[in-house]
Amino acid sequence: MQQRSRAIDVHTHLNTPGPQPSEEELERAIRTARYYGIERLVLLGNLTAMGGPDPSMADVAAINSHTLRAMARYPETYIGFCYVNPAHPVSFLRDEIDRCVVQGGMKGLKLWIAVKATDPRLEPVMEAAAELQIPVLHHAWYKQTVFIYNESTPAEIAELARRFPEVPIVMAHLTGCGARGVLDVADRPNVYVDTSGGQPESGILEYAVGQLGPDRVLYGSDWPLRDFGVQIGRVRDADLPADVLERLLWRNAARLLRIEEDAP
Amino acid sequence: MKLIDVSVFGGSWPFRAHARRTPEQLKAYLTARGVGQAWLASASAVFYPDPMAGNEELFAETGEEPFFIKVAVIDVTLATWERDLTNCFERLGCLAVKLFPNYHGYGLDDPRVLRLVALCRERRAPVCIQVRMMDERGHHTLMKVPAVPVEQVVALAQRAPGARFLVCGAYQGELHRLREAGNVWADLSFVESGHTLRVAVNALGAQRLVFGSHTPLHSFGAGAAKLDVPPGDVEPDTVRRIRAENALSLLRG
Repeated sequence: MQQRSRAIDVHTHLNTPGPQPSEEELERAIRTARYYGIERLVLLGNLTAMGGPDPSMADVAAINSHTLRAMARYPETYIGFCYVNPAHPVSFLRDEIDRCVVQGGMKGLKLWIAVKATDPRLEPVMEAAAELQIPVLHHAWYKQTVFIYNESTPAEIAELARRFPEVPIVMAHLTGCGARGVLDVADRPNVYVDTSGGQPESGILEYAVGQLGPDRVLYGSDWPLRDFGVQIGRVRDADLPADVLERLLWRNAARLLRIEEDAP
Repeated sequence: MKLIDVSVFGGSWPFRAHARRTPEQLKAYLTARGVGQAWLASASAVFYPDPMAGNEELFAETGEEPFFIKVAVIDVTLATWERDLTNCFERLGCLAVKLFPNYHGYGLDDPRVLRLVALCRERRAPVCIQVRMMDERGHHTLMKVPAVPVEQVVALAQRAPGARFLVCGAYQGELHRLREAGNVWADLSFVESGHTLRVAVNALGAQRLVFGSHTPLHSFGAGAAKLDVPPGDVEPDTVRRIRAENALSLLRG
């Protein structure tokens, strides 16, 4: 059995569509997460089942309402991020961010694959993040095959970070980004990397910490596409000092999300 | 019963840095994580022109250490493959064979494969098919190697019903396709989804899954976590089978 040091998972989804989150799915996710010592779950939205790669405004609103309801049902566990499609009108983007973050209490923005990270239409989204002082979590991957829609590469995330140095950006999927991706963002201090997704390759986590330092790597799973236990198991079994692991699993995310660091 | 890990590699893999341990170090590393027996194959043998060089150098280091089950890497496209196979069994003490059809450039419908399977069957040795070594999305830009279609394994296994096969590296979504052949086992090294073990058991059954970590290329802790499931998720008896008993059945026949 793994050492159950507490953790915040910065990359989770739901997968059952509908106006209300599935109570069974929420309860099962929380019960499973708790078994592995994961106390807080950042919910990035039910993206695949309720929207697809280029969601409509109605899809986005439904996804975010779904997240808000999960947050309301289990506020001690779920931290919502507001999902946005930068291709939508600026007025809608601003209203949706206001509804979800300012009024709804979400703590960040989620960008997936609707447009590239270098698309100029990200500007109002990033400006809102800067104004609200919240992080943006952005999908990224270097792939040789199985490309999906407008996926961004880590180099494109680095360019986004250069344009908006005041916005903390969490670049998702460490294994997918690989060593090349880590190096792309190494000199962008506002870029963090989450450990979610991909096969649990050995060594890449230690490499990322070596290149980025211990404060810019965050544990994430990509649940339910991936397994809480597997994804946190790779972190806990990494060849890293205990104090570094504690930062990866809790402290870095707590600081970024402004969660009380000493909370049990 | 201690864990049996059916997917461990020695030697080196050329596409990224990874831990390189002597057999003694590898045994200590795995033993500290609860492993009682490891099936060991040479990763170097995948790319050496003659994989016997990889088999020889690895098993010269392991000696007769009973912790390791020696797994011979055989390339059936080489003129000497039958002699290699005999040497692996009789001189090196191998108890299983591992094939890399996608890296060595043949299909499992190759007649030489069926001949190899027959020879392995005579010696009661399982045949391991490594269907992938890495997530294809992360392959080197100049060397993209498609996975071995699991349907080829099923077809081969159905032509050789008395033989025993182990698929290493299958994805979760490929497991259910292996159900059609009752003489095929699969390791968990690349299997993952929410509730990995429960979904895998539903896909392939409790009797034909075995634990494989893909050490040193995957995190051992990540692999081991697949067997560390919340109460009620999977029957303890099933976990016990997958931890060791199924691997013993696969090896002994």
